[in-house]
Amino acid sequence: MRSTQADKVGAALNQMTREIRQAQETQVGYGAFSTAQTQTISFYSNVDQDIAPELINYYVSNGALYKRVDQPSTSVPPYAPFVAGTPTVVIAQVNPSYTGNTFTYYTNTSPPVSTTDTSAISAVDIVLTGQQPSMTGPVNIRLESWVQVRSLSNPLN
Amino acid sequence: MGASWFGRLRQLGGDDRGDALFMVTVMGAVMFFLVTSLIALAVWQQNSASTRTRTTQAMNVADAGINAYLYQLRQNNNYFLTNADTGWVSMGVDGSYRVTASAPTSSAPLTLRSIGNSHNASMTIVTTVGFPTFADYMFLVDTDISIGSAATITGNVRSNGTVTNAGHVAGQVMYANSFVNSGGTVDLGTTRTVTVDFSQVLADMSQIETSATASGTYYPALGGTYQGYLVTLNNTQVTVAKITTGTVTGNFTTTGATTVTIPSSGVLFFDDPGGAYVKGTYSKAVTIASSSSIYVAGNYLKADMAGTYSSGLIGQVNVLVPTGWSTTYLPTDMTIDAAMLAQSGACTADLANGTLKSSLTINGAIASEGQPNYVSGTSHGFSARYYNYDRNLQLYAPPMFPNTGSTGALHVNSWVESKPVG
Repeated sequence: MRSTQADKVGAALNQMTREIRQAQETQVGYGAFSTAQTQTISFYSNVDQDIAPELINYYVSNGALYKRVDQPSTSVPPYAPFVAGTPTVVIAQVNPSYTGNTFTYYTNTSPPVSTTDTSAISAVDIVLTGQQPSMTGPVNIRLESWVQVRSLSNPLN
Repeated sequence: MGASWFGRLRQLGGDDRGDALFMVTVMGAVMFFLVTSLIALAVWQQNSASTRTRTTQAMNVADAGINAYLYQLRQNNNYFLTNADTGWVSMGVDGSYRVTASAPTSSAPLTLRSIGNSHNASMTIVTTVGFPTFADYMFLVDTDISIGSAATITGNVRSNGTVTNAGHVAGQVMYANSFVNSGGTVDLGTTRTVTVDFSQVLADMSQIETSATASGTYYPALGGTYQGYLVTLNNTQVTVAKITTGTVTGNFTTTGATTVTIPSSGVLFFDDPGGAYVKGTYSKAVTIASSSSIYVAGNYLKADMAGTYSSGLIGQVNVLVPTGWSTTYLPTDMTIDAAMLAQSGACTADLANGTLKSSLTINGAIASEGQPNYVSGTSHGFSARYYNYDRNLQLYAPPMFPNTGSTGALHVNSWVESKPVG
């Protein structure tokens, strides 16, 4: 059972990593991120691999991690306005004792510097937590990944 | 229930003989089940981890292929024309990659597809790439530019000289000399940059002329008393006529009209000193270039603003709106949906003639060697001016629209792990 919950958190982290890695700008110079907060992230990523990117939102609320996919209304930049989708639960119970950042953002500089300027972000550190009930009390799960947005951090840009 | 079951077993046996063997057998079966389950779980987890590792390695190999191709593109922006397929390139024990390039079209930018193979895993990465062009800015000027307090500019502004801003730039300001803030705002900040060489456009125009000639859309000097060409677009069709009179008033008389379809190259070239007078509506990517000036002789509209196609108007001298014409021949509320480039003159209105018209809306881009200007006091030009950069141009520049940098510069617009095939 413990591995099942760990697998869920791991699967969520893999999916987020993949989606953020292929995030893209909808307006050149404005960056790939719409929202960059410690418990909320929104970015443009073509997750369904059609002509236009979606606006992907992850946020922690009421002890759970949610995902919402907003669809573009046009097929040309800046693709706005995006039509809000229905939130789904990604992790039903995050670790309530974890008080650190779920999302931390970094620039494309060397070394990377923490930033909240959405136009300057090219990498994100993600910390996902979960909690699994057991006979001896809840077991905490913590997974972390650092992901670069490839279209923004390409060294040849 | 358990006791009664054991009891019956014991009665069948008559005594305790065989009890130990039975218990050992049961416990052995349980242990065997547990051990095999643990082994199966361990094997599954090992396989799962191995698959993830190999998939990640394959992705990195594919990404290496993308980066190697981008390096070549930086050295030569036309690299994809002669190297559309790298074939399989070995990276030794890490695996191998193969990159194929699809040339840009009016509905798709330059696209690179890299397949990475590593230890029996395969991943494909698809990227779209663009090059900086003269259509990347709402205003790109070869001189100083002054933005008035009433101006709101959507898009980036770049100057080879000094930018003085009293207005609102919803974008970034780039300057080669200096930036003067006169109480304005710039949403994405200011940055100093190198100059853009407008003279290099001449080489691009030569290539456009060559391509137009091959496409049957090169229109030579007319000679005699002709005053230029009248070019009227109707979706994918272009009607070209020789102007005999009327360029001063807009009340044309023409002769020799012919209609052609916008060619696959997307370019038309007019080589008459009288220039090309352009108007109409287009529904296919098209660039109209003139070895003299382009005159926007009426509304010039994109049929569907949600379309990926775009249009360029390139004048070797000016791209001029003849506001000296009366409203009978030029709308008082005018719209231009195009990227305009004036190589040695300016994108401007005729500020020496006529009266003040109502409004001009430009949904596109302006690149001008001289100061772009669409109003003069309260007597000439347009009283209201709306400059909206068409962000579609950064992905889908008009056909053969000149790049601002011949080497070195490119931008990756998207980077996507492709769907598995099959």
